[in-house]
Amino acid sequence: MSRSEKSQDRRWRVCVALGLGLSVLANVVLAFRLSLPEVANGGSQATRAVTEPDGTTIEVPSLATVEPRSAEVPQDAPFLWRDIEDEDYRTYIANLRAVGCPEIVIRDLVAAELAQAFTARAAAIRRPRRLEYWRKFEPAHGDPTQAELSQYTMLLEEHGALLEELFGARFIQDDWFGLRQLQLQDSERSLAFLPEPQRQAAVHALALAQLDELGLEMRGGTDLDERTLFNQKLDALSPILSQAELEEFRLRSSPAARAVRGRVHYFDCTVEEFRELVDAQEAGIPLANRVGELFGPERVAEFEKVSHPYYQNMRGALDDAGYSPDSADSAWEVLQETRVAAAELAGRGTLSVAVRARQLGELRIEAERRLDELLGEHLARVPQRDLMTDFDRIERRLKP
Amino acid sequence: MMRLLQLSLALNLVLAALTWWRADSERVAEGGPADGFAPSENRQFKRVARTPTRASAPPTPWAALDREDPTELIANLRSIGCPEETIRDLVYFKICRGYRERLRQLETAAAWNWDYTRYLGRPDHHRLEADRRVLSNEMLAQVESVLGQPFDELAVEVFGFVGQPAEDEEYLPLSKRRQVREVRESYRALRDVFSHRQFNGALEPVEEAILADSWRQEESQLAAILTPREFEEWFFRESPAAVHVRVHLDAARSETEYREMVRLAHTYDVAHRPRSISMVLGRFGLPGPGEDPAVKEYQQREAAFNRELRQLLDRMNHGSTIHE
Repeated sequence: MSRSEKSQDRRWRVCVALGLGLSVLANVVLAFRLSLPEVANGGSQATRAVTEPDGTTIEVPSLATVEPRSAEVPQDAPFLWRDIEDEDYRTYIANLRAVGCPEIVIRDLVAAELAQAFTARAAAIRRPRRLEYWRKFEPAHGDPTQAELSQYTMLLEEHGALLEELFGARFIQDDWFGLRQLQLQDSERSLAFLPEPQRQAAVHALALAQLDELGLEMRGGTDLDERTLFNQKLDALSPILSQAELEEFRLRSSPAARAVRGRVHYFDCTVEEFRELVDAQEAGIPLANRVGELFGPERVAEFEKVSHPYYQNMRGALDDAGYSPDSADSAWEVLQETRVAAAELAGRGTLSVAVRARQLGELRIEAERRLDELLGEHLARVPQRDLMTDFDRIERRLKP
Repeated sequence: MMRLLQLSLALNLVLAALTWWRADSERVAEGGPADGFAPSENRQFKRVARTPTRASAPPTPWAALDREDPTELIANLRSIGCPEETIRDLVYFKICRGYRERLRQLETAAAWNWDYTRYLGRPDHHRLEADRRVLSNEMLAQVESVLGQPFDELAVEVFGFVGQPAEDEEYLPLSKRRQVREVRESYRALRDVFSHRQFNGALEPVEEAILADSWRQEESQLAAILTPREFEEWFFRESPAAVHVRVHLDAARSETEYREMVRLAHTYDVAHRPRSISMVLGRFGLPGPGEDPAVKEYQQREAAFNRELRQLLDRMNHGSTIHE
């Protein structure tokens, strides 16, 4: 072999050795890549052993015992959490937004982290006091003092203020608190009839108006307070809802609509007629008068009957038991006859108090017998109770 | 060496092919277009491209790991090194927001079906309430099964200083909470049907019997689910006798005294008062309309219970005095 041939052979061997080295390296890299778990397809779930109150041990999905998996992070992972993390909430939020995390998820996450960070401070104000299961519940038990309450309120406001600063003025704390259990705020429920975009905007508008609905409920406000609160709601909603939507909200949720609904529950009326009655209620016009104008005088008596609390109690019980409305009407006649007769007897000054009391007793017993006959012993108890209340009042007022 | 190189190159090809195949299958699983499926420019069936819908838009990095199935989401979050507390918070909110949306749909349907010229009828009202409770129980069960912790505890951890501690079910093992809630719910729905007339003392005897039986059935169903020790805890915390003692009797001075009181209340069955008109009128401070056998029987039983309770408390008090 010539020198040049030897030299060529050596170069060839070096090339083959280099190629082999590179090829083996490529095999190692490819094999490692294939050995990594797939990102998007679930993967096995870690579990931990939990001891139940009875001493048995069960396996449950674990959050706390899993080792950090930095070594297993796949090379094709969409991003790494360490790239998101930042001590500054603004940067953290910006990072989450940058990877496409939905805004609502970011808000939930940051609100929770802030609330968790406040736990120690809240505990310093007041440790949660547990009522042992065997103790009698007393409203005063564990109630915070005024000082504790005001410090806690300040903490709550600080939490809200921080969130507003981070997310702008539209962070609704109440909406987030609602996730502690499955429930909708009253305002959200009252707006559930709206189509989606309006509903969401309306719920936000009411939340931003910061109306003290809960405070009013706890204080037990007057009718005027309730009307004022409802008008404030209408003001908050008027830039968002159409006239027709506002009107429907009024007919569903206003204090006047609630009052009318209580009276006409067993009185057939159209939405238009209902609206007229709500208008009358708001204007302070007696409903029976408006019913007379709207439906004719013959329906006034029907309205007065079905809007009477005694009729409604009885009708409710009879409906539940599957009786027809006719039974309630017949029993109502007995009630009315007896009440009229009792009022007339009570005012008969020519008779002594003792005689009137005895005759009232007989009148009541007769009415109870008739009600028993009509409704049966058990269902008759409902009108009998109301009748008893009336008679008791009348007898106490008897004057010589 | 040449032979080795040939083998290694062949292995290169196999591994490269496998890697390409896996990457491709992942893209398909994510719903994105797979490489090699782009329409050829030379095809003769050209069409006007439509505006891509949102679904076909390229997913964000977050969308690449977000999953409807919470266990898949947990695995994906772990694979990118997300801290466990953050995973817990994210999963809790994802499940709860999902159920909240379902609740909102339920309320929307109810709002649309409601004839607002009158109040919702009692059967519809009870049905809606029951639907709400069923949804809530489902949510609790899912959160607990995915995160492996009682819902109450989790809510306190997630909500930090605004968490509301509750210990109603602390004595129940996690694995049985769902069953116990379901049993409770089924009997609650049954009792709702009678609630209005029961309040008015207007139940027929047969209905009173159904109600009384429902308590016994609930108790025996719970006894079948729980261990004797768990059942005992339920008995002293949630049974009608326990509730009666806490609500209607003077406060017990110790847990031992309380437990004796509950046992006695259970023996005399004082928790189940007949709701007859006499009792109802009594509530309003009015005299009842004559003798009612059920009320008379209850009053006798209650008097005997009160006598024995006094003796019991005297004995216990005396014992504790001696002990002191």
